[in-house]
Amino acid sequence: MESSQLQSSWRDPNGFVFRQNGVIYRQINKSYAADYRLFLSSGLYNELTEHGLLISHESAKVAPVTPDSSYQVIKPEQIPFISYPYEWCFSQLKSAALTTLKIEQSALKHGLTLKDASAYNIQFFRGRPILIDTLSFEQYHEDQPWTAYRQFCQHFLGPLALMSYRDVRLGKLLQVFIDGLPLDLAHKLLPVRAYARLSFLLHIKLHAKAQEKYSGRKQLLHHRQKYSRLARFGLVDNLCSAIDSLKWRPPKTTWGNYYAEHNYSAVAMRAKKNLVEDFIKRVKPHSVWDLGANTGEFSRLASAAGIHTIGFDNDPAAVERAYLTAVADKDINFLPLVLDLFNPSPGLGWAHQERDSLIKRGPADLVLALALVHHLAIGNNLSFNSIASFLAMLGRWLIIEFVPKTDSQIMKMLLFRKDIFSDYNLANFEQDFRFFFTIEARSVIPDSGRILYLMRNKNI
Amino acid sequence: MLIIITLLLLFSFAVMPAEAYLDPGTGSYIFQIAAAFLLSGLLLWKQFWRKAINLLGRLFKIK
Repeated sequence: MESSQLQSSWRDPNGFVFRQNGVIYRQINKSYAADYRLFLSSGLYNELTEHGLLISHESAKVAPVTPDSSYQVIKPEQIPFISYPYEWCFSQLKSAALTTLKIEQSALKHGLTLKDASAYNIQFFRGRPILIDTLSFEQYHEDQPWTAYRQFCQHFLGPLALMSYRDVRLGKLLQVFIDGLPLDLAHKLLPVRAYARLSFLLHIKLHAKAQEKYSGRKQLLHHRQKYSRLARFGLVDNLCSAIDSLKWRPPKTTWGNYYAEHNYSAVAMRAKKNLVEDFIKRVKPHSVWDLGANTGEFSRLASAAGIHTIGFDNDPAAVERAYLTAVADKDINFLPLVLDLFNPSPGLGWAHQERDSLIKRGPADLVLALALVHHLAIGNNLSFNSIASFLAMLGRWLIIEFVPKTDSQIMKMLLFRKDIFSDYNLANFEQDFRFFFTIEARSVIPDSGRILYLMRNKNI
Repeated sequence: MLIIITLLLLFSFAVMPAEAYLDPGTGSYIFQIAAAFLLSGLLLWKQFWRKAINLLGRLFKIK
């Protein structure tokens, strides 16, 4: 049996994650044995898993990858899709930050602390943020400051403050700075009004100044000063209030209000939903990726049927609305994410392997590409061949909507530009997609002139 | 602001080594001690007010 160590967990010497026969395991090294025993015996594991804050696990009967250093192998509950902080909307990142602090508060009460506060240790599972790194805890020593303080500020506080006070799109900076947003940069980008609140003045501005002052200095251990338990609780409590104070109200963007403002007739909308539902029932997928999902109107047809569904959209306002709706409706199968289809998340980090590209995290059983093809072909000059070849990398089945050139949406798109799209027609669309897919079903959506296809991938 | 900077300087050399796999960052480490000292006072104040408001709430309920 072949085991492969995942490159997302190489930093911590106390253990790592590996995959065997498609199942994720975690090896715990002997160096972590004492902390791990304390973590279990203190009752923290039980408390966190009961409250849905930490992924649960069971002892695994598989051979460790490195037997000499191994203490134990555990099998955590399997997460269907790993998402990254640069793909989360504002409320997702905020919720992940509050979850991290809640876990730290519980840990402190049990005599433990989080030794890291990486946003990558949080995943969205059954609709909620959850810590997936079981090895994140260590014994709490009252005289020690919080090792993860800087990481928390860089991964959560700085990005969220910028998204709230400056522009929500600045969350994408997390894709550039893989170990969190440098605080001097966060400080430069934050408006002065943010510092009216003591928390941001402290944790961002003065924190950044202190980093600058002591940059490169490691020699200053002169005398010891007790760092009290109250100080640690005070710090974490203040970070909680700071995160909690951050708000972002999604503006009315083109995509955020797409269904409210666009010209699908009620008949066409209902018919399209029925067709999509029928196709989904026919495929019986375990996973669905809805590309250009908007606020998740169609994603929810799949998630409501108990299918794990990801809705990708490039508009943070649309994703924010989709997430808040999913939370309000307790839709545990739907995860909306921010993703630019023209520049999808690449492989990032050391050797491009720490964070996987979108393609590497697939394929999905079924891909939805509804009201999308004209945006790709006409909005961005992509050929049908190029679109089909990309979609064929993402899923085993495809539900795709063809929008004819006579559609009012396309006419609007061509209003101020030359029509260079003489190849954009149904015959070419079918011909190019047939190269990668078999057309299993085709239905005209009444009252719209659009056509919905069910296609099966020829290669995966 | 003056109080914060004074505190920061006061605690500038009050650091002990961390035995962590994650580099906490020298500046962050030192700064945290000063910030947390200040915030512990704030937490005490907050807890005092919470208790005071609860007490007042209960008193008014009784009446």
